[in-house]
Amino acid sequence: MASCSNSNTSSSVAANKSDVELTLVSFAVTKAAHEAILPKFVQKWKQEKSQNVTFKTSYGGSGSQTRAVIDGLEADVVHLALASDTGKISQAGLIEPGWEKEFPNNSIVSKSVAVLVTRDGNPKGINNWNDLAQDGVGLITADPKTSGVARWNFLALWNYVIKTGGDEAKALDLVSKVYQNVPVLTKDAREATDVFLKQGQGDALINYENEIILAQQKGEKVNYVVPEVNISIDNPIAVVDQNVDKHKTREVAEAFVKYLYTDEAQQEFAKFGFRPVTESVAQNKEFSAKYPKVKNLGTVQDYGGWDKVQEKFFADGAIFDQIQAKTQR
Amino acid sequence: MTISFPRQQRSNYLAFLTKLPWTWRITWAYLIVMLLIPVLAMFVKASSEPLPRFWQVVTSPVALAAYDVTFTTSLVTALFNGVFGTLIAWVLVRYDFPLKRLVDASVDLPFALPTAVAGLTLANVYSDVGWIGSLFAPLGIKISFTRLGVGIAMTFISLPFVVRTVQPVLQEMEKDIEEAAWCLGASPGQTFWKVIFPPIMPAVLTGVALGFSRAVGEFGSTVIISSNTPYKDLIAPVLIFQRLEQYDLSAATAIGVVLLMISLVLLLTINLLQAWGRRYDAS
Repeated sequence: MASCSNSNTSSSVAANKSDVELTLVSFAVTKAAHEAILPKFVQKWKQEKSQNVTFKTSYGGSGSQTRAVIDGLEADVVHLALASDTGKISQAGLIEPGWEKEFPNNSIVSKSVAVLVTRDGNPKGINNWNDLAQDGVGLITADPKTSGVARWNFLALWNYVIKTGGDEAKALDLVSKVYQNVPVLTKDAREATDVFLKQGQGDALINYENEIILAQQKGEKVNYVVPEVNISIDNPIAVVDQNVDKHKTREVAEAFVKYLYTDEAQQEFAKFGFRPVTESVAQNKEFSAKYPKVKNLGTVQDYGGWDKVQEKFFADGAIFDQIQAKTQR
Repeated sequence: MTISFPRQQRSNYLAFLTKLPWTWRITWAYLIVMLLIPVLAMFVKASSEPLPRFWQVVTSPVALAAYDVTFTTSLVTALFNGVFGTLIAWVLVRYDFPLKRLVDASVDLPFALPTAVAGLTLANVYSDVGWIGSLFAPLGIKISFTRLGVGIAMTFISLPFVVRTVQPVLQEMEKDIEEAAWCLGASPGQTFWKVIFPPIMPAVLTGVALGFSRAVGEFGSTVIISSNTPYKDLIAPVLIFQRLEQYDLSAATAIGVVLLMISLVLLLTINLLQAWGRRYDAS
């Protein structure tokens, strides 16, 4: 079998003032924020370097985007939902190892937390993670097998037990009970919101805070709580070394990523529901009220990083598979 | 593909190859590029799994349950459509009524509609707050997000196949044959089973086979109306999608290969049935 090699070399962009094109590949829920940020960067670059940048953008589920980049979607910059997706691209040899250290804050450019959305007036009294395990509560969440957010949700539940003094057996018990209460596992975060809000399924929904804030901005009426014990959802950014070298766009790609860390760009992220990663923006009155500080915030590092978490919880036959086999038969 | 021929035959064979008419050459080239190479690539990818793991992936309890949901539901809906699609075709051919053209055209809607839109619409209409679903909810019947919902979605997308394959055959049938049967004293039931049904059966089966294979491969609409719960209503294409999302390409293709094999066997069976149905055609 001759495997097709991608040989569509874009016209090599010389390092002079000719126009330059950047391809940004990102996960679905960042679309609104990026659409506000990109024009600002284009303007800034034009002023500083008098060069025109045009952006090609692609948004979709984090896992699908990862696969597309590995299979030949020539992204210059990738902004994904979790570090393990970026890690996969790195393992495929497109991003040089050590990418986490390239940019500030371990290359985490946007943050969020998990929230619990309930029905009007919260008839089932759901205020915390353990309330989801009660009998007769229907929970809507995305499927950890296909969705990045769902893995964060699972980790949030697990983290809750560990951070409140429980051990692993107790944690396993809680997540098993909670996943028994899930009538629908959706493909991704957006679909989970739709099934809960538009199709009236379930009594509670776990989702990204930014996704729910966006739904509010779109005029949906949602009541939600940000649980006190929570997990920090960290979305990393990386420059795809192999592609920027090929397109000769390294300079502008790195400048763009650095720009995403400026207050100007972070404010845009914050407007569209993401928690700012820079202190200066987080201190801003408007945002400190919008994003109440979470008392007890765990990180994926507390559990050994994404590789370990993936292997322990989501790999074939790992904990999540065992829970499903237990609950369904 | 290496097929060894005896020497004499081989030269003939080569001569034959070079003398092939253009239509043949184009047909073969087209089929090889569009069909054979992708399928072959799939087999190659699947065979990159070591055999024990391949076996473990395709026979895992989740996978077995998914085949069951996919094939059983597809087969039931295809047969269901075989009956109702034939009925619709019959009405469209034999009766005249106002807006007939509109009804006739609307049968093709499932072909034209993007499947995701179809899935979303069906999930809404059949959910327990939707127009139809809310009628069933008091009876304790949930449709959306259950296997029943998956069946509804499959029925929706595979309906046109039966109608469109049966319609032309019915149009060609002379009404005289029926009249002759009545004159000879056949009851309406006998007329249908002995006179009308045999000639249209191959067409019905073709429609059922097409609808079935479409339902098996359907992803866009079923993924939305299914709750994706393993052992309950998780369909095989979604299982493949899950594998892809985990970047487990060879496991995904392994399940794909199994789907292909089961589909082939079932389609062959339906083809044999058709051949048996054509036993009247010799006259």
